[in-house]
Amino acid sequence: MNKSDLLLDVIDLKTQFFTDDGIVRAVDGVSFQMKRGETLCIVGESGCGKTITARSILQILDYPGRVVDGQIFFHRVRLVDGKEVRQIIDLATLKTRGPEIRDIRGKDIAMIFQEPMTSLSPIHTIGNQIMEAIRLHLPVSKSEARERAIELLRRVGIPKPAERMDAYTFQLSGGMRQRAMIAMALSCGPSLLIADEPTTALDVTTQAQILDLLRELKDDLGMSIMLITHDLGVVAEMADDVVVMYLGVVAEQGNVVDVFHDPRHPYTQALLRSIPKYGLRTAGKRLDSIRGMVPDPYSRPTGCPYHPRCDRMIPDKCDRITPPTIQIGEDRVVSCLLYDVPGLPTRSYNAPQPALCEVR
Amino acid sequence: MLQFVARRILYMIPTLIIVSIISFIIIQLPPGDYLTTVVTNLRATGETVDEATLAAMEQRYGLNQPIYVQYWKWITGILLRGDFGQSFEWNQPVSALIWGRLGLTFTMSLATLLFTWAVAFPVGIFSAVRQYSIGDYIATFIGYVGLAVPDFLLALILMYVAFKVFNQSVGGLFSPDYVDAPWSWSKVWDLLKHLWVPVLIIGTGGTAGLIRVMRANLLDELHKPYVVTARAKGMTEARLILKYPVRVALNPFVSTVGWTLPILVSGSAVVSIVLALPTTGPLLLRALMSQDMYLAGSFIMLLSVLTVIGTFISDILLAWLDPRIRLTQ
Repeated sequence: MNKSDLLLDVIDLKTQFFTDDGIVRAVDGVSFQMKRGETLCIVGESGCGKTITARSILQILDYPGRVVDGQIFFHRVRLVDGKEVRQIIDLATLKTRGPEIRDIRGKDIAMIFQEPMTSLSPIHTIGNQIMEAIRLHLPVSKSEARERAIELLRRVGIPKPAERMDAYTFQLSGGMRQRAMIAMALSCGPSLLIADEPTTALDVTTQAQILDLLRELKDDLGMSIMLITHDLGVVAEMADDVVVMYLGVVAEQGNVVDVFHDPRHPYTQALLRSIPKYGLRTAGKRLDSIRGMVPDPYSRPTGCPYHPRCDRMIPDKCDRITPPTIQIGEDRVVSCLLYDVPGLPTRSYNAPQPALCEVR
Repeated sequence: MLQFVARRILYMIPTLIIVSIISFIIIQLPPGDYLTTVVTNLRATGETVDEATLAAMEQRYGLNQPIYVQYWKWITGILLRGDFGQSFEWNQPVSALIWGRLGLTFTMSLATLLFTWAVAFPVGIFSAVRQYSIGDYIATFIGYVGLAVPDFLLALILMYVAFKVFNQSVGGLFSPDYVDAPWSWSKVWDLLKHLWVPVLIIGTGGTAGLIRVMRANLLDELHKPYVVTARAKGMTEARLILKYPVRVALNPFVSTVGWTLPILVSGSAVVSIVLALPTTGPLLLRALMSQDMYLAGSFIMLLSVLTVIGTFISDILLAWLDPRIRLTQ
């Protein structure tokens, strides 16, 4: 991968929640890379750490969560006085409430959420909230911000945008709310948009419209999208690359075509088997499901976290040894002992070269 | 919004009529009337009362008429002439007795309300944002003590301390020189010098309660998704907390304004008696005990009207504050 194409390089990220009942290792050593201009889907069951991974990137974890280890290198490109300035910033080291991370939030990395109703303030107009996002990062006047906000609302397909500026969330439909949310996220031209299950709370037709809109915006604005979802249909439609997560670790990562056509990790295989397929000779057969449940966060299995549910578990190995991340192709990794054969390189992460680094 | 206000005003009219009827019925409920009290008192001192005098007094006060006639006379007097009737005990028009005291009571109540809010808001917000910090524990502890200590006890302690330590008399609202003096700037200054004591005493309980309410409301809101959204925009923590969750947490606060008004007027009676304040509380208590019908009735009526007006104000404030109430009818 060309270095200048890299947008986000997450290395061995660990996020933990220090609760009264013990430490929850919500993200336990996640590594992945994201290229500029691509759509990366993070997929997995509920509670496997997708959302926490995304929130760790922006450092907006709820108390008592904290990034305890790992690096999140964000390759920022900004135009300063017409000149391109490149910086590599380790987001994991920034103070959660400091000015550096706040300068990145909303400007370089924006986020949209699952529930547009509750994620927007119920007592402020959407215009107020969008203009606020604009004026936080851009030196514009109130009327310029208003112009820009109306333009954004029009861009995301809200009819009569000037009137909708003064609408409250409860006066809009679910799809319109999510469009307003997207408009707000786009307000400062982010290079990365993190979408945390943006269509889960919407009905199917609206869902398709929102996904189309996201894809269109991505192409027009040249931004990258990190899409968090548990819906493999959405993944197939949207993704360039896929990260499959299970219980806070990456089970498998690769190009969407490779992962869907040749899943390597038993978890990915099981996930793909549990999708209903139309037209195949499946009449009368029961749909496969993954047996068991995602374990309780306080009692993580030893060894490979998936081994209690895995059909191909190797006794006395999978329950003892934590599987390494194994490189099985270009940009393709899997974390499973089935592939831990001598000769295949395990992937090692190197910190970026000092020459390239301009970390603040 | 205008339509909303107009409708609320219309709703108030039947409520007020019913309130006035109920106030009148309530003051008629105890057996006997003012004359019975007078007769009992006279007999207790050994005097005899002859029937003719009693009949004359009955005639004079209109006590021999049917109750609805009495009510009608009373209410039309209030509405048409501002005449609340005659106080039997003081032998003065009720209005002459009430307004002066009501003005002082209102000044004191307003000062108490402002004090309560000025303290409860910041402390409540701090307590919620820094939940389980040392500051939160201290605020919570002081809050519970404030709730648990009865007002009159606090009044006694404060009076003792003021007298012993500062050699200052804290009873009343004015220094002796100013009690009967006409209003002047020095009299206002004198009032302010006395006002802080009852404000502090009456305000502690309310402040402690409001701190708890504010803390609980804000804790409910602090982890709502819209707060995370605001954080993801890059807002500073202080600004986003004040703009979003605090605004939403204000709603239950504002809706209690309606009850605050009458509680402030009547609830301070005990403290007022202890501190000998020239407010409405002690007067109401005395009027009720001596069955001074028109005086007591007027008080109860005024308190009820204050409740209705307070509710009206809080409704308007709530509608102004929260578009969900204003726009979804």
